[in-house]
Amino acid sequence: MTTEEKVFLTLIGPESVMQSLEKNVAIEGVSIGKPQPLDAMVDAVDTSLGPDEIKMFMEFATAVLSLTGATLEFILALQHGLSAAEGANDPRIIIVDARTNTQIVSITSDTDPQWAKQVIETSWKK
Amino acid sequence: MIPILQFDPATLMLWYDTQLLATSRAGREIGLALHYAVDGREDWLKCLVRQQSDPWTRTRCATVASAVWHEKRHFLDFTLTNYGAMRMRQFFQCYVNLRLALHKIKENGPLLLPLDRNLDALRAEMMGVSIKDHDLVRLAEGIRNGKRMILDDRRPFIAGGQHYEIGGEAMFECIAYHVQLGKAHRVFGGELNAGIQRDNPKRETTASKYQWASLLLIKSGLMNVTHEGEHEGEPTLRIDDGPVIPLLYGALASRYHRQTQTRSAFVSSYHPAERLGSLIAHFNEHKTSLAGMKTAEAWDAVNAACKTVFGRTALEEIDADYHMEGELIATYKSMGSDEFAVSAYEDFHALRGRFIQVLKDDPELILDQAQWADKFVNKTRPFVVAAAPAGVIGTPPDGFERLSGGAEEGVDFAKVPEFQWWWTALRAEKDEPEDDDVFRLADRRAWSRIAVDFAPFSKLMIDGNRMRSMVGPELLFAKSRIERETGVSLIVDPLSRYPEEDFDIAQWYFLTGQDSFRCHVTHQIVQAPHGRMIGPWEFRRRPAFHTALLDYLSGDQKQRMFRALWRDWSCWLVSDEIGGLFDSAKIENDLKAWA
Repeated sequence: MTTEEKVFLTLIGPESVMQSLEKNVAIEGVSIGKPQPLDAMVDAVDTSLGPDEIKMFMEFATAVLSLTGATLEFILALQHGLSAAEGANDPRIIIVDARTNTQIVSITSDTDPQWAKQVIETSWKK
Repeated sequence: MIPILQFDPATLMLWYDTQLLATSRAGREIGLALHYAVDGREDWLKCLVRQQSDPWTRTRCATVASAVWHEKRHFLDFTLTNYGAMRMRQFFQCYVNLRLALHKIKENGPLLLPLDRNLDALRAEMMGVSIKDHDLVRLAEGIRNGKRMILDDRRPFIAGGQHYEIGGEAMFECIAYHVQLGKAHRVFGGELNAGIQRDNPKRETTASKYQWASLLLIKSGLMNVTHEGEHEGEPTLRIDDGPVIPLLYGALASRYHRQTQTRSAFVSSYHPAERLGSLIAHFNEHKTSLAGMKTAEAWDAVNAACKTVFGRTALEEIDADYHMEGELIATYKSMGSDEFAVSAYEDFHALRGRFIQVLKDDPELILDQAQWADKFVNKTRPFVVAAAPAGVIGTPPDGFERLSGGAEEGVDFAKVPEFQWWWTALRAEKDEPEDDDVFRLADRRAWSRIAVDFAPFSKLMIDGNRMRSMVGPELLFAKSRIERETGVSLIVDPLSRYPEEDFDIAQWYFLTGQDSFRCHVTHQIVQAPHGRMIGPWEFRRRPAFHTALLDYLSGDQKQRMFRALWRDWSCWLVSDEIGGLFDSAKIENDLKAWA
């Protein structure tokens, strides 16, 4: 399968969830790279005159789905991974088109997997 | 939030947005307050604040002055502590490798930015790049490991539905806010100090970001707090703050440089967050009555606890770190690394040595908020950068040296002045020989080069375009310069192509004290709370909007708008109607047209 035929996704979620995905997801036709911190600490330090909010510690990982791969199984695995969230309020995994950085869908434990499958598969046909 | 005043660890400089200050309701007065605080002219500052009959102006002058003290404290803590020095090291590792990296990029071919993204095989495959060169792999691994190390320390904990960060940077914020308010109280009095605390649209964020350490120590029984009464419906508390900074300094004396760590189930000598937890557990277990101790006594207790828990006092930990930093610099020097980068690192090291000596000789000057406020803050002088994100036509005013801007070649600026402008300018400081009275970096030439060349390059390498910055074009220029010099395309990873911008027009109304503005596109007056604020990166991601704007104009106006679009990296203020048109323009993720 060529690079053009593969679907590259970026998964963004809480650290504990992303680490668990890397370790536990083993689905044929799906590869998940090593999670990395989303942010670096190169920003200037702000002042008390309007401080920025404290952001949740997030990680991202690159995932590759082959077109014939198990999208549904992949979504179910993500939902299973969300159970590993430690302390996160309303934990979710945001799925982004890795090439364009456009958000495709946000997965929570309540997301309908069939609907999410359809959204993801529609996105790669665009 | 719109950045108005910042401390940039990559350059150790204090940056302020001169245009945003000038737009505010009392731009001149607030600008003066800022410079008086920078220069330590406290009598002038007090006089200026006293003279203001408008309560908003009086409070805002005091708030901005106190924000300068806050940033000066960051300058001290980033330079002196082991944690701060580690944060600086991540930049210096890039600075000293700049020349080598350029050479290796030329040999390697196209690469992803941030550099560590090339280590992700799936991402590299997707973007059609590969990192082959051994030295570049090492540099990328260094960046990846640095990020992991810093982020491991800042993992938040959640209590009562609130996120608290208790790592090194959060400790810096606590210290800076604590001493800022202490100093404001001493200079302006209690009433204005209370006004400064209220002069903030996000008081909840302030509490969780800046005051968590005090709350944690009070809850742990390590600090005393007494309820004294009420003022305007809010409780007034007396806090015996003696242990706060000594304890945080014990935590910030973290152990790096691949030294062997002291670890057990409840102890770790590594990150500040882990050290703080270890120290609090130790004090609780040994029933040490830290609460009520004065600063010097608390510092002795913290050093003794560090010796017992980690095997070294905080001062011994700092000495070890300082020694290894010296060896690292000597290694860089012997390798023939870039002279500007090495000079700046030596300069940093020398200043750090002076701060450490003060901590040894007279620790209260650094650890006691009152002593710091009365005797030390005004001696601390970071370099100051005036930023003008919209670009100012012409050259910087007297006393400032241009760091970035534009000047078209072969143009007579007397006839077409708009072809020359500046974005950032470094304030000139008196070049007196270093003495005991002033604590500042000495090698202005080297730091100026760091700000212009090395820092933007390193930020690109570490974080792409994702970081918040006061200006912005320096990142695009750094990228195109590298591409020009190496002949190799650098591809910014889609995830890091632009920073997250969440500007709210309410922030602008708050910061400027204004209740209306003139739309940058239609020139109509927009009244609060209406209007929109469009960030510079967000703006550049919608080229269809610029095209529509340019198509609407003709002749000279069109040319002027074209140059303004190129030059202006400020947030644009527009009417709701123009905001709606902006929203309907298609988003492009490729910023190539602006590079």
